[in-house]
Amino acid sequence: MRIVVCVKEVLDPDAVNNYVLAGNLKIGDDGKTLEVAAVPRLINGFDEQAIEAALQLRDAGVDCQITAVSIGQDLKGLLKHCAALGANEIVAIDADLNTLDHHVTANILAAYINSIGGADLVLCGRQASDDDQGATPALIGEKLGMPVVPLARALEANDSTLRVTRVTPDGDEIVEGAMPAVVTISNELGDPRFPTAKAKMAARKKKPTNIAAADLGLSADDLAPKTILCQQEVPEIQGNCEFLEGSAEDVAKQLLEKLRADSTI
Amino acid sequence: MDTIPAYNYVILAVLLCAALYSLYLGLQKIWQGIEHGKPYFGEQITRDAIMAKFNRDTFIKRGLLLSRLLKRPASGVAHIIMYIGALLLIFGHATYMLSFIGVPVYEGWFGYLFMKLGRELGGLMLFCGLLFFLIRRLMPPERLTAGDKTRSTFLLGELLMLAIIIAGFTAESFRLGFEPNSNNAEFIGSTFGALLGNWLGEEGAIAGFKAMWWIHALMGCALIALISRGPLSHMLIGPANSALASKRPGINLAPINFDFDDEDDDDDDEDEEEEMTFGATKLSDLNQKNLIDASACLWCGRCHEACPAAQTGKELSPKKVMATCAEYLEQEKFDDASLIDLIGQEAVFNCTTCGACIEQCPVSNNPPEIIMEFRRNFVMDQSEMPETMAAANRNLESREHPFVGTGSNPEDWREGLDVPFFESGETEYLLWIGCSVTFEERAQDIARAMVKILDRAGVSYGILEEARCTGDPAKMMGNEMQFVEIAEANIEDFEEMGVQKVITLCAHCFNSFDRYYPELGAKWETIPHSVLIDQLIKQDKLRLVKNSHQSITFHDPCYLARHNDIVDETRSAISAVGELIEMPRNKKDSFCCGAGGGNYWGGQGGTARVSDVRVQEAFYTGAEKIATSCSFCLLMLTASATKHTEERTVFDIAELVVEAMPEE
Repeated sequence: MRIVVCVKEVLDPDAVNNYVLAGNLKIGDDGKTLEVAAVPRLINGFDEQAIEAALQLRDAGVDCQITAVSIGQDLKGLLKHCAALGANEIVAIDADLNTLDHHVTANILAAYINSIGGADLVLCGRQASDDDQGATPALIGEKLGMPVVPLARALEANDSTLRVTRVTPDGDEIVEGAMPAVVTISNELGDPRFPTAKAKMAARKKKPTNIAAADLGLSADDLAPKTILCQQEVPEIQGNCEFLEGSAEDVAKQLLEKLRADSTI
Repeated sequence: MDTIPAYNYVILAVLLCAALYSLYLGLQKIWQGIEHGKPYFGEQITRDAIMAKFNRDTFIKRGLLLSRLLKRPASGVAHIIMYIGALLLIFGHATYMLSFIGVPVYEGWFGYLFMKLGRELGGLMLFCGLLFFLIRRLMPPERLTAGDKTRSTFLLGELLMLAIIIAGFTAESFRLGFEPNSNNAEFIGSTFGALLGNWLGEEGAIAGFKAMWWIHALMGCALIALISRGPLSHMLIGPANSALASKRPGINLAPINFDFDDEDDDDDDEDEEEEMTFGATKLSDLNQKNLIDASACLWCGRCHEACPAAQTGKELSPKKVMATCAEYLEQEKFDDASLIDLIGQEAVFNCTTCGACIEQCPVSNNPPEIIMEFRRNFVMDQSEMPETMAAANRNLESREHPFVGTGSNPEDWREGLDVPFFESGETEYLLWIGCSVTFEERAQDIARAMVKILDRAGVSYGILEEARCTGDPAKMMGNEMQFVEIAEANIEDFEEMGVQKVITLCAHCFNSFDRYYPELGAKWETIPHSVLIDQLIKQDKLRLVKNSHQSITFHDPCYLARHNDIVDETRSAISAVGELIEMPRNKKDSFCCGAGGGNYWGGQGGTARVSDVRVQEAFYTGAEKIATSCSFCLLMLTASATKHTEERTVFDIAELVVEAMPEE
């Protein structure tokens, strides 16, 4: 069984938040590019959990080949981390990041998956922590003609059937269906594993397969973004801090009233 | 002396040789066990290899003068009494042999002092010491039973020794019963001898003497034969282990080589990787010195009493770790990987690597070096560690610092300050900020204070443009691989920048740079900020106004005091700003803050916090302020102190020095 996990490199969300809180996050003159030289770049947290989901299937005895694929430049560190976690194959697709919207991303990933003869299971994080759109997995499903199961927290697979535990606001929902399928993984899956030193050493030697987006047989139209980022703004952070005074009972009562008045509860 | 015909001595000499051979065989068996460990003396054990590890200082102090034992006065004195007693007896018995070739050893002052009085007192001392230990065996202090491990076979050896001494005195009494001696050197024998002589008459006394002489001699041979076959072996292995103690105090972790030549044949490489394990799961993964430690361990529990984890009710007891290894060694379970599980993950991660146990051990054992090998295995081989430590490790990998969800940016600490960057060839010192000072708000004050001090003293210094970590948290959490990656990157960049002197603000940064970086090729010199401050004060580059009414107690960071012998410089700096009041546990016997070994990010809760205990101890001194000279200690103690008072009571040395700097 072939599992393809799509991973994205994002700006460290914690660092970005800190920059915002400290008023240090700046946007360039074009009004849309963040000045973020000092912010570390990491694997998108949900995507790391998607790899973990694939590894959990392998741990459960599913005989599978796990491929981690990412789009961008200089993805060595990211992909080696995927290899250390347990991906059998790591693939870097070179494309111009400025032209990547979710349509183009999905076109490239779908074309790549087709180029390797398809996949039984495509796993993605539920969304990327930078743009938070969560649209790419659904589009991949559409391009590949596969069903899409969003927000999974557990997977079980046997032969050609997939059983997915989905997270909903009201509790779990379990769905079942035939593979191939696209599944998006939610954070409820749990913490990804910490790679062993042996795996990390083996990963150092693993060379990524490098592919150019242009070589995937996509038309110019397929590679042209349908949405374009025009402007980004740094949110203004306002902190209102009010101290309630009185006995514990009083404070609790006042707090309750205030929360009710704000329709918070 | 002619009462015992010569052939008796011949038989005894044969028996003695047999006993000595048994002693040798016993030691050989112990060594055969130790040999299962990884080579410690190099591939071949040569005289040079052993001499290279020989530590004369610790051998004399701890091995021959029993200095460590005296840290516990009662058992220390009992040991010293027995030790001197035994030396007198061995000397007396050995010298007696000279009489066979006609040397009159019993004559004159020598005979009086050594052969009679010396042996009499030696026997008495041994008797008193043994009585102390036997009584204590009946009412053991907690440390002897702590960790559910009690060494039971001591009793046999002690009873045998007691019987030998009683037999010796009885034989002497019989002899003096028929051969009364006018001088009072053999006062015990004379007293009982007079009674026995009267009671049994000369012939009875002679028969009694012959019988007791043999009983005493046979039991003596039995003791010698048994020394290396039970806990009494500590008489030999203890001093031997002290002779092999690391020359550098504290924890010295062996480096691991992660570099494998890429050009190697791929197949070979894969084989190598298949067998590759990191750290230890079983005895044969530990090195020979670790196993000598386990052999030397007497389960006395001094380490347990000093251990901050054990003393706050956590799973770890260094004594239990050592005793468990010793049991496996005894049972020849060299390749039994159940050892790591028996010791347990929780215990392994409880260790704060403070080194208090190392400082207490009378036989120079180093439990953390063993614990860390198990930790390395959990982290690097099994990917198992407490969740909070896993998060810190993950952060180290992705962000190159261990702080999860920090509220600070790398440049926050120097906001509004004009701090120079290090310039190649221009700047003398690199002021290394380190992770905790960069990312933890309270610790940022240390860097701000240090910058003021360096400016005032006119020191040429500069900082790095970006925030960095030495990798100590990774290393001490068992993630050696991450440490090596971080360290190699730092070394490469420092070399490119031409860094020759580095000031550290954190004891862990100092220890990393000074102890472990040189192994990876670093050539610069590192100085802890507290030591530099002391130098600047002594060189009169820093004028301070001492406030004699301000009482300050000083918490020694483990990684400065115990691990690196830095105790005087910090005190001298404190004394320049106020009155130093010592806590009961100070200097190299200090009590940890609880942060080391990655435990700043550890802690499952449910037990007392190490830092709470330490802050309580500091408060009891009545001092107004608690000073320290490590950012992690500062953060831990501050967190505990704020439970008692909202006022700021914990300070770094640099902060106190800035307060004492007169306005310009």
